[in-house]
Amino acid sequence: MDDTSEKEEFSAEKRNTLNFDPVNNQPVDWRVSGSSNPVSDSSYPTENLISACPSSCSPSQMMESFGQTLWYDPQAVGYGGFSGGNASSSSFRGNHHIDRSLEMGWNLPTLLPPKGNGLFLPNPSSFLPPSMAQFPADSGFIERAARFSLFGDMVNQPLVNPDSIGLFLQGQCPSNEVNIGGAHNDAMKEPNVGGSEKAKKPNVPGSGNVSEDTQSSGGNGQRGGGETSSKGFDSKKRKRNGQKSESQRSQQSEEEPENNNGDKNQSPNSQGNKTNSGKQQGKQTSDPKDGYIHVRARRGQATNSHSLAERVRREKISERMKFLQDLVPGCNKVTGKAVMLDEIINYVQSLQRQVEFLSMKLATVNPQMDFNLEGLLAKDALQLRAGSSSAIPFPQNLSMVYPPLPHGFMQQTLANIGRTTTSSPLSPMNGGFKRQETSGWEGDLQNVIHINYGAGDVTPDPQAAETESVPAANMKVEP
Amino acid sequence: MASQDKSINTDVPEKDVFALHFLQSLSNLKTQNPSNSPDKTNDRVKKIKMAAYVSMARAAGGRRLWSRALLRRAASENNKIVRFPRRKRRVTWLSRRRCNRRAPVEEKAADRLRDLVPGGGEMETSKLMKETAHYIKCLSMQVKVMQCLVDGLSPK
Repeated sequence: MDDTSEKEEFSAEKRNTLNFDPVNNQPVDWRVSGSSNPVSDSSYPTENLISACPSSCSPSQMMESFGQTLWYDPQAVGYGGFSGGNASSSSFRGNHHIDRSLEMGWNLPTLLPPKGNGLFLPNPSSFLPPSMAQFPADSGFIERAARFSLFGDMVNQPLVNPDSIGLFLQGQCPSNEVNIGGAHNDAMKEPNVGGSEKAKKPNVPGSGNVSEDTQSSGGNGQRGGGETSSKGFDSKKRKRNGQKSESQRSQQSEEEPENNNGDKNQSPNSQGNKTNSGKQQGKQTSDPKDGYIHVRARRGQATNSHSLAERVRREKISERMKFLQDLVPGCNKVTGKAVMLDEIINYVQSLQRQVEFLSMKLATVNPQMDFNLEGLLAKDALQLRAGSSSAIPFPQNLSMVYPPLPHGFMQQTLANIGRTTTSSPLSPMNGGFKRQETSGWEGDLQNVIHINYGAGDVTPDPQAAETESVPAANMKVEP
Repeated sequence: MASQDKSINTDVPEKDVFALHFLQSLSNLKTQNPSNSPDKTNDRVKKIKMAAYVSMARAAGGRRLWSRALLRRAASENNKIVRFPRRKRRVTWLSRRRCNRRAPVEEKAADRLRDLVPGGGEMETSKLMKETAHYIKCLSMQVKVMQCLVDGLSPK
C-alpha cells in the first residue's frame, strides 16, 4: 500500500472522510496533504460540496474511503495520534451512548478491513499512552462532552439538516447508516477533545489542525454545508462556529485584556485555549456567586485591580449622592457632583444654623422656662398630640408608645424625665446630690402637674394623676 | 429602590423620640443649672445647642459614626473627663491623600462636608455620604422638634 498514491486518488474523499472520521483528528499527514494540495482552504467547502454527492449516493465508495483512512491512518500517524480520538470516543460511548457504541462495536468491524478492525476495537486503555488514560475518568470532560451542542444534535437529530438526513438514510443500508452515525459520533467528539482538552495535551497535532480547518471553512459552512458534505464535518463546523461565537460573545461582555491577548493569536493552539477559556468564563458568569462583587469593565476601561476598586468606590459614592439628592430639597435639578455637594453642604449648614437659632430662641425664653419648662413639656406634648402647632402632626405614635390616655401620657413622660434626669450618667452633678435633686424634682413634678392640670384643659383628675405619677417616679429613682 | 434602601439604610426614628430626648436633655440642663443661678445667655445658648445635638445623637442611637462622635465630643466637653479616651487620629489613606494629592473639586467639597458632619474627618467618602444622609435626616427632625418647642413656648 502506497500511502501517497492513495491519498492523491482519494483526496476529495479523504477530505470527506476527514469529516466523517473519528480517526481524522490526528493527521499530521492530512495537514501536509492539505497544504500540498493545490486546492486552497477557501475552496475547501466547494470541494466538499462536489464530493458530497457521490459519497451520499454511493455508500460503498464512502465506506471504502472510510476504511481506507482507517486503514492507513494509524500507520501514518501512529497510535499517539490516533489515540486522542479513540480515547475520547471510548469515554464518550461508555458514558453516554452505549447503544451507539454497541452498534459501532459490531458494525464497524464487519465493514472495515481487518487492520482497521484491530485498530478500532481494542480497549483504549490497553493501547493508549498513559496520558490518555485519564480521559474516561475525567468527569469534567465528560460533562463538557455532554453539554456539547453537537452531542445534543446527535442525540435528537443526528444530522444538522433534516434534508441531508433524508438523503443519507434513503440511499444507504442500515449498516452504513450506523457506521456513519458512529463516524459522526466520533467526529463529534473530536473537536471537543481538540478544543477543550487542549491544555492537557497540547502536542497532539490533529486537534489543532482540525480546528483550524473548520474555522477556515466555517464561514460558508453554515448555509450549504449541511446538505452537501458529510454530517460530521458540518456539525463540527457548526460546533466550532458556535463555540467561537460564544467565546467572542463572552469576550465582548468581559473584555478582559487576557482574552484580548488570546484573541490576537491565530495559532490553533491558542485558538483552542481561547475557546476553552471563553467557555469557562461564560460558565463562570452564569454561575451566581454571592460573596463577590461583580465588576465589569466596559470598553476602554482599565482593568487592573486598583482601577476596578476605584471605579467601584466611585459608583458607590455616586449612588449615595443620589440618595442624598433626594433628601436635600432643591438638589434635584442640580447636575454635577461638585455642585450637588455644595448644595448638600449648604443644606447641612442651614440646618445647623437653624438649630443654633432655635436654641438661641429657647435660651431667650429660658428664664421663663425655669419655672414652666414642665408646663411647656406638657403643653408641647399636648400641642404635638393635637397636631396644632406644627405642620407635621405629632403622633398617634406617642399614644402608641405611651398608653393612650392624655393625662397618662403626660405623667409618664414626666416620670420618665424625672427618672432619666436623676439616673442619667451624663449629668455630673448627680453623684452627691441625688437625693436632694430627686426630692426637688419631685416637688417640681408635683407642682408642674398641679399647675399643668390646673391650667390644662384635658385632665379631669389631677389628684389621681399625681398619685399615679409620683410613686412611679419614686420607684424608678430609688434603686 | 428596595436594594438601595437596603444598602443605604438611613432609617430615622420617629419624631417623638427626638422630642423626648430633647426634652429630657433640656430638663437635664435645668437640673444642672438651678433656676436661681442665672447664666449668661451665651452659655445658655451653647448648652441648649449642645443639648439639642446630644439628644439628637442619642435619639439616633449609637450605631452611627456621627452620633458617636457627637456623644464623645459632648462627653468630653461636659464632664471635663475624657470618658472615651480619644484616639489619636489614624493616619489613614484619607489623610495621606489629603496631604499628597491635589484633590479634585469633589474631594474639596467632600472635605468641607467632613468638617460639617461630626466625626466626618475619619470617614472615607462613600461612608461620609451615608452618614451625611442620616445626619441630615436627624438634623431636620431635630429642627422640627425644636421649632415645635419654640412655637409652643412663644405664646407665653
